[in-house]
Amino acid sequence: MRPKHYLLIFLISFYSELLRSQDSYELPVMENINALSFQKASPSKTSGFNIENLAIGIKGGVNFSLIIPLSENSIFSSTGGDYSKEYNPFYQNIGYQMGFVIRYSLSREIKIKLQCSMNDYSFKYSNEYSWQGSTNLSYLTEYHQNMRFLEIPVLLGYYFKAEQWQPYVQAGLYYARLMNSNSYADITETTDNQVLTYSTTTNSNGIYQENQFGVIGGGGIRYAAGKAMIGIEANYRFLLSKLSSTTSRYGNNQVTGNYDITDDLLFNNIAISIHITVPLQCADSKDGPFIFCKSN
Amino acid sequence: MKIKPIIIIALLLLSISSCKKDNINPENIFAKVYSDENSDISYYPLDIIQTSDGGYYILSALSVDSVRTFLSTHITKTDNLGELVWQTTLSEPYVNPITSLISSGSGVHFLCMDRITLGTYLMRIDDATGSAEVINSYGDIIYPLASSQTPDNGFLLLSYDRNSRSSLLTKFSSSFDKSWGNSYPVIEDAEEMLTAHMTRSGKTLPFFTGTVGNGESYYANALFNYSLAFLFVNSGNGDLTGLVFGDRYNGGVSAVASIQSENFAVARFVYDSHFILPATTLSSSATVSANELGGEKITELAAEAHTSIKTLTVDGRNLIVYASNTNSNQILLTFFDLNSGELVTKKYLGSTNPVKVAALIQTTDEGLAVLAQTMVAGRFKRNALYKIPKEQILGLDD
Repeated sequence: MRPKHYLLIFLISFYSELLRSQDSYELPVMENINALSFQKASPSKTSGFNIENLAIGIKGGVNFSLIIPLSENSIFSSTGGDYSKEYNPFYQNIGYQMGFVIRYSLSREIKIKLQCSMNDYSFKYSNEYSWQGSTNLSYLTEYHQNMRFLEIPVLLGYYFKAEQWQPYVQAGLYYARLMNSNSYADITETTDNQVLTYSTTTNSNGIYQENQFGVIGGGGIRYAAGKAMIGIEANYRFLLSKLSSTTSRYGNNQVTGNYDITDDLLFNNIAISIHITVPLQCADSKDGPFIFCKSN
Repeated sequence: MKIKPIIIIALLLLSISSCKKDNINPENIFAKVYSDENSDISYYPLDIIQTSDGGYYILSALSVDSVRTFLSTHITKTDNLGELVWQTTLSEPYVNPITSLISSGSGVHFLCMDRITLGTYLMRIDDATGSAEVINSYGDIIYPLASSQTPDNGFLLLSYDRNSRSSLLTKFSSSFDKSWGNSYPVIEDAEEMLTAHMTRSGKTLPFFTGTVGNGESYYANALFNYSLAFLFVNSGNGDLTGLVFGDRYNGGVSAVASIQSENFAVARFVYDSHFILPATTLSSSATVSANELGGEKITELAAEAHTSIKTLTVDGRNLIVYASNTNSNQILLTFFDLNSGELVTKKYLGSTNPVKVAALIQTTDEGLAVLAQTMVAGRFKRNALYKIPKEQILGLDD
């Protein structure tokens, strides 16, 4: 089962639980987003931290990695050969992400968000080599690099005044910790007489730097469904740190042994996520759902 | 809520990623395979030397697989990143190049053989023309097998004389004139075996020469008295003073590094078993069997493994490195402390496509350059060069 399946199951079960809880508390349907109780709990009530301004939720979606090579690296060297990689377009570099959202309202328009998520990124490229003589052989290798990061973005968002559909823009920084990576190689050997295709999978841990950071920006729109907020957003990540260092590039024998080596590249990503958030709201407001309650 | 703590936490998280500074530059670490699209050609790397510009000369033998004869001489020049700058294959009759590359004030030299007369040529690499030129020829020295530089900037040459059925060791001065020559009878005819060795059409034997300490005596791993023997000879005239005799041609010493006086790092083999002795004593006046040396059996080494040993100094620490080939077609580098003999670290090179070690040198940045043969796409024998930074030798990059 792929991560997207887990994500779908999780989203469906979470939302069904949410609807059931909404029914049990006989939630009023809000016609105006400004009338939402957690919006009413404005920071003006208290000068410090106010739990009534907190909302939590989940998010998940798909992402597409955009690779911009800065300088090429190759294991092979010759006086006339071309060993540059051919990168696939970004829409073929599909990945998935899912995680949690913690949002705090600094004011009615300004909110700060911490989005802890597990992000799977991928990108693809290919090399082709050939030899001529008594043996004529062409050797096409299509690499599929996969990385799983634990990411912690911190975003500051501006939420436009609206009715039930509320657009917003956001920007911030993110820290990412590489959890795992692997490399699939689909190899096609073509000789005069036959075509042979096979695949190899290599654990590519070591070729990427474990700690990464970058900037993130984007926007979205959310819908007030009772006390819950359901939205969709798109974020563009620009990795500021180097995906691979000079040392890490040669950090995995299995990868270099397959004559594969990472280029110096810019790693960007476009992520589209659906998210559902609920406020941490007290029960005595009779507006549930809630998680903590001061009266208890 | 104050935003300040959140910003501080975010900055702290981001700073984690920049804490680890990478001091290793591209010239300190790389892996290169020198490509050739001709599928009928095989490369047999022999030796490597670092040039004054930080690049490398690679000497290799080149065979055309469809016709098995003496191998051609191939020279490669790379830059300090290992990228190929120029390469040339010398036209006949300059065949059968041998180890080692010899650096002297007038340039980088090597020895090779005349295809017809079997005599020996001393060649000098010419970087300006991207080729090599003949400096001297020694027509009476046939079948050159191995050479090494001596502390007086001369060199030793091991060869085989088919007329007397003897190994011949010749000492040359720094002006490349013959100082002395001495022969060591094999007794039986070894020409067929040596032809197979030189054309890579059969078993290859670990021929080498070297100097004990600062020149107290010389040594040569040569054919002698029906076997492969490690010979100690007088540095003044080449007289045999001691030896380690092998088990016919199926056992003996495979590599040696002189540490000091009678202290050596040794590798030996018996058929398909390999043993290492990182710190042992060999008397230059004694006669012993290689089997008496003992040593630790390294079971992961391949049956036909070639072994190289080098001494090196990294951050003031004296080390010995053994490089050899494993059953899993990788190169195993084993580093020992020169003084204590304790294991410092192990490192493997290569995966999937086979690699075999040919030679290794310490570079000016105190790292290691490992010259290897790899089989590209599992088929084509090509030269490969690995550059290992000193941080990985001492485990400082973890």
